[in-house]
Amino acid sequence: MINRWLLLLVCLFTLSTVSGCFEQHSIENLTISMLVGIDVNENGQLIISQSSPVFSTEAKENEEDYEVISNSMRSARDRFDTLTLGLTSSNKAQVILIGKELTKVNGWQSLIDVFFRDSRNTVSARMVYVDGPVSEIINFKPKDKPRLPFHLSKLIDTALKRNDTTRTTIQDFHRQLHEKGNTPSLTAMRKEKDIILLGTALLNQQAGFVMNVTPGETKLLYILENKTRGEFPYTLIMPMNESEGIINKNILSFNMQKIKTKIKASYSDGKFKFNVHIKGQIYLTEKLFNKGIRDSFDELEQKISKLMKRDFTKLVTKLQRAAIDPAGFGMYARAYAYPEWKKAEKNWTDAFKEADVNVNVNFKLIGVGAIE
Amino acid sequence: MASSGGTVHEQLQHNISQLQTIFTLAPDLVIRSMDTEQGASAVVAYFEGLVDMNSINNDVLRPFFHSIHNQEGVVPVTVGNIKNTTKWSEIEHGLLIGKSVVFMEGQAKAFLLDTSGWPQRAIEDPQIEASIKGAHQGFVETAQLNIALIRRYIPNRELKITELTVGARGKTSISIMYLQDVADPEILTELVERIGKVDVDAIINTGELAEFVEDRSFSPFPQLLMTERPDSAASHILQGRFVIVVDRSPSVLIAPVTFVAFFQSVDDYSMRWSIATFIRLLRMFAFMIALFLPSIYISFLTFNFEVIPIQLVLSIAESREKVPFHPFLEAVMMEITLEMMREAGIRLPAPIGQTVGLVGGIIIGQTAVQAGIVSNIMVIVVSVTAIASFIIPNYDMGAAIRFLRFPMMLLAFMFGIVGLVSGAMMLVSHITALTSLGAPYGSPLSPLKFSDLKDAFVRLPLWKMSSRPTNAMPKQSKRQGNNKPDGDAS
Amino acid sequence: MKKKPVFTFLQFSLLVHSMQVGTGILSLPRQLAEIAGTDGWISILLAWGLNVCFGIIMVLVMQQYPNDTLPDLFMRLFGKVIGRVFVLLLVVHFVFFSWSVLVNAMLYIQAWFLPLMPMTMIMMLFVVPAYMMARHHIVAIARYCEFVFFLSLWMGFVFIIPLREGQFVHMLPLIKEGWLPIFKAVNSTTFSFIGFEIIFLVYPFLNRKELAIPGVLLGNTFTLLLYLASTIVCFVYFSPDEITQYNQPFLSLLKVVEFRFLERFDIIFLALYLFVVSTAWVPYIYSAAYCSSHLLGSSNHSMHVLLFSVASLVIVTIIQPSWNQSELWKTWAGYSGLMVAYTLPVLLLLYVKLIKLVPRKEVHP
Repeated sequence: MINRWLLLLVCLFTLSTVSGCFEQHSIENLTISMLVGIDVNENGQLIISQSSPVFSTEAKENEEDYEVISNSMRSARDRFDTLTLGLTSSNKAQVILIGKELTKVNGWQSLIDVFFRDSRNTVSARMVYVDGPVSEIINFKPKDKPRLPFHLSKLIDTALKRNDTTRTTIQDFHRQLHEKGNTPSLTAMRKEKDIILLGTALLNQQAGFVMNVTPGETKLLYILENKTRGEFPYTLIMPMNESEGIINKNILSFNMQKIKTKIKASYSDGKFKFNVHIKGQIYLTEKLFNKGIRDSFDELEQKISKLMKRDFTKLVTKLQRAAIDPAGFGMYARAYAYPEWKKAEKNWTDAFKEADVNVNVNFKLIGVGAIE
Repeated sequence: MASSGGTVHEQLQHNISQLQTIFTLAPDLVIRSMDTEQGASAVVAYFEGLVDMNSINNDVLRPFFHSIHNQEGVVPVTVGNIKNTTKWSEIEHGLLIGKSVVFMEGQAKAFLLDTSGWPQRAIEDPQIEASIKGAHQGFVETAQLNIALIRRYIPNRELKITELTVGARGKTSISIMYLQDVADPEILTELVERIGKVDVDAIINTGELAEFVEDRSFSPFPQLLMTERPDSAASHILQGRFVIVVDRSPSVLIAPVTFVAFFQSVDDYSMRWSIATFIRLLRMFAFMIALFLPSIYISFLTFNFEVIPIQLVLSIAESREKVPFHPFLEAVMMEITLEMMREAGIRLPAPIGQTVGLVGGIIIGQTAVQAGIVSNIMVIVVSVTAIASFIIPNYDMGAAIRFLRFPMMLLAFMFGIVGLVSGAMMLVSHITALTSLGAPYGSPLSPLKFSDLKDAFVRLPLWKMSSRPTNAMPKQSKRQGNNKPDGDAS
Repeated sequence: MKKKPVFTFLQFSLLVHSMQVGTGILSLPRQLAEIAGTDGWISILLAWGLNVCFGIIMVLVMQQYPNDTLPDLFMRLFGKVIGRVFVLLLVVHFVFFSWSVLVNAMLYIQAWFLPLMPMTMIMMLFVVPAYMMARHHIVAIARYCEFVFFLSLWMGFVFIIPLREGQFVHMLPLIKEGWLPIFKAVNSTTFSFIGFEIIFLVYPFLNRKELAIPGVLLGNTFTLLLYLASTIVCFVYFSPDEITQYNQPFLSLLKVVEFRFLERFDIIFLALYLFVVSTAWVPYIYSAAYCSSHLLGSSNHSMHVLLFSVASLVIVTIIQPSWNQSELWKTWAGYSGLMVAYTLPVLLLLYVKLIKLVPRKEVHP
């Protein structure tokens, strides 16, 4: 009995010593920056911008946007606090926009440190490469769309369902940066009349922008990475010798399903060799040429596989020429040719440039649709 | 009382005056003297109102006047239960509990006739523990009737009753019912010892006894199950537990019990087992909701809003925008209003009680939100919590949970989710260490008994429960033979 | 006379298991990766085998005197005075270990949840429930451990979610740098496996003594599975070049787990994981109090638990421990664990065998 009272006393004592220093910020008192933009302006200054929802029913707009010149993310937050009504918090950031000019700055990737160091920050915000200035997007206020952060994240997430773009969260980006066996890739976006997705922006090991690839190539890249969730619609121009007017009658569209990618690596003759085996099923969804399929089923199947192999090889060559490895061939080099990888890992992209990549595509045509 | 000592005198007159000295200022004491045919005179005394007048008139007075033969030492009455005594103290007690006493001239003893018949309620449907399929007889305020109700379910000679009396003035008779060849004798000894130690004026209601007998009176949880259903009492006796019937109280105590027993109802056994299982899981879920939901809401809102999906964050923030109070204050305000409404509803007569509920519901649900005193999400949280807390079938447990919600909310307010977990840790350690009459309260989860889990959070088919729960340490653990119906091929 | 309280085989093994699992698991993948790369999981297997061996040695010692706890045994073997010296060693070890676990957990909570909250307050959140549990008999504590174990089994399923994003190719090639780093990494798992010395204190309360060795095996295997699963999931999810960057890879991993109705799962997980950690510090505090009450010859340990609780609150207030200090204490606790969990059982076994031999020689010359 005495024990209990003594403990109670001690508790009360400790409670009384620290009254009133609880760190509570109720939601409505926060400025939740859901969209963070990082860019460099014409004068070469770092610009951090943010867009956050406004909860007050008295305000006309439901969103507030700010832009400050700053040296880092955290010092930008201090500036935002002087501007916004609530305490700025990027715990719920949905999208991080990286300006085109920023990727030209060496070492910009160290800015994301704050997302990892401060454990309250999110790491699942989507990183987006903006082909143009970030402010164009931040200040874009279309009448027929939801709040910008939702607009953007919805745009990315739904496009991802058909693998038209890549989705790189900050966490993924961190991994891609540090993994020596690949190079980073981001969602690419541009503001024209509306905001459009461009496919995937490929960066080099130092996080400098190298090139954009189209949504079609993004799908191939995903298959090479063995990320085969979602749908893979694809369109090929078949060599059918039909007319190619306004309507190209050689077109064939199909869905790829159950894709399995196997990559084996080896080392011989002073270079790495990769054997890529892609297996899967395809299901026709559109055919514009007249030639029937029923009697040339196997032929068509082989033709598609061959054309796909051509597209894959083209993409890989393109990557090799640009000295980037977004598909992560280096990880396979490490797994299967460790001693040689050890020597090459410092400059993997150079070694990848020289490597032999042999893609084998084996698709099975499982259906042609309801009509001949 | 000094005057109650001594023994009965031979002279009738002496006895009458003695009776009058014992019961002074007792106008309801009736002393009726009569002369039998043989000339010997006798006196009948009783308390008006405590006796059955029919019985007095027909079974006592009439035979007296018509008695043909009067042997020495035989009272000419037609009452079943007659006891003769010489002690005044017994006479006094007998009269007070509704017996009538007969003194006869020339005999140094008195006869106590069981003519008791006090005002008493008819057997009705249980009020708090209503059931859909169970029996519709609830306990009443008479121990004998309650015992009879239980005996109807278990007509077995192994059903034993240990009688005790508690209270210096109240002299409440307490009967412990159990199956002698099943129940653990050590627990019985413990129980009898604990009840024997109770030294109070009177036990008015069962709950008072429970508080004197339970293991830890500082605990918020009930450690003895109080029920007003004879069928549930009988089923617990069959599981090897003890049922404590308290005279003058319409509910009985069951011991030892476990935590999960408070989440079970008799209906569970008469429903399809899959449905009963679903309902039991629903109750456990409701328990969690009732205990933690407001505090989870507070802690997420004030400490860790990043846990809430962004869409929900926005709608919560929008609804809270006009509310001037801290979420904790808002929640406490709402919870207290709700508790007040509940309490008011109990005390008021049924038609008015409904009005209170209606008015309260409208005020809280609509006007308070419009006035910007509370946010509408808080209204949802509080009402879901309230509904959840009423799903728990046992009133005491429901009340305990409603009470515990407040310290949980305080912890959440001060420390967020960590405080909540700390509170949950305290609860778990408390329940694990708690015992009910020495038997572990947390069984069958801690200590874990896989065989008892069949009838805890789920209810498996009855033919699977072939042994009694181990928690009450039954001597005979086999409960039933193989009853598996042939129809199910599994 | 009441029956002597006993616990079951399962409770025994879960007690061993839950004492081993503390906060170590959160940073274990990093520590392994630093030394042995992605082969670190093999070290866990080796450490498991080693620990099971020492656990069995403890059981062998206790089998000789099945009704004694270790402090009783010391008194019996070495007399009151020298016995007390040994008991003091135990007290120091247990006090130190419970302190180290508490401080470590407190620092995690402070970093992850309440950066501005005074340490004393956070400590109080741990100490109050710990006191409520640890002042009871070890049988009740074993029940608590068992309950919490089954309550937190679902956490295992959380491991599966990040696997979808993982790359199994990270694990290859196996044994890339040879066996040496793997052996070296065994050392850093020691701290994570210590805790099975509770056998010394609870063996007399086990209801079926012949199951002690399987119990040790089972308890250690639970721990092994947990460590193995968490380490492999971390290795598969994070790139081998990246994992050493995170102080607590396991928590960083959970940060990405999101559900429709709940985001930032690491917060929920870490908060609920406190339950699991509490099953480490509660028996430790109990052990410390039990041994110290034996040292002073009192039979009731609950006063000592209170003393420990209050003292830890006071000391935290005074010292205000930092991550660095905590790491240092962890190393020291590792050393004292080395003494009590590895050296002591071997020495005791030798000694016990020796004194059993001596009289026999006298009888049969």
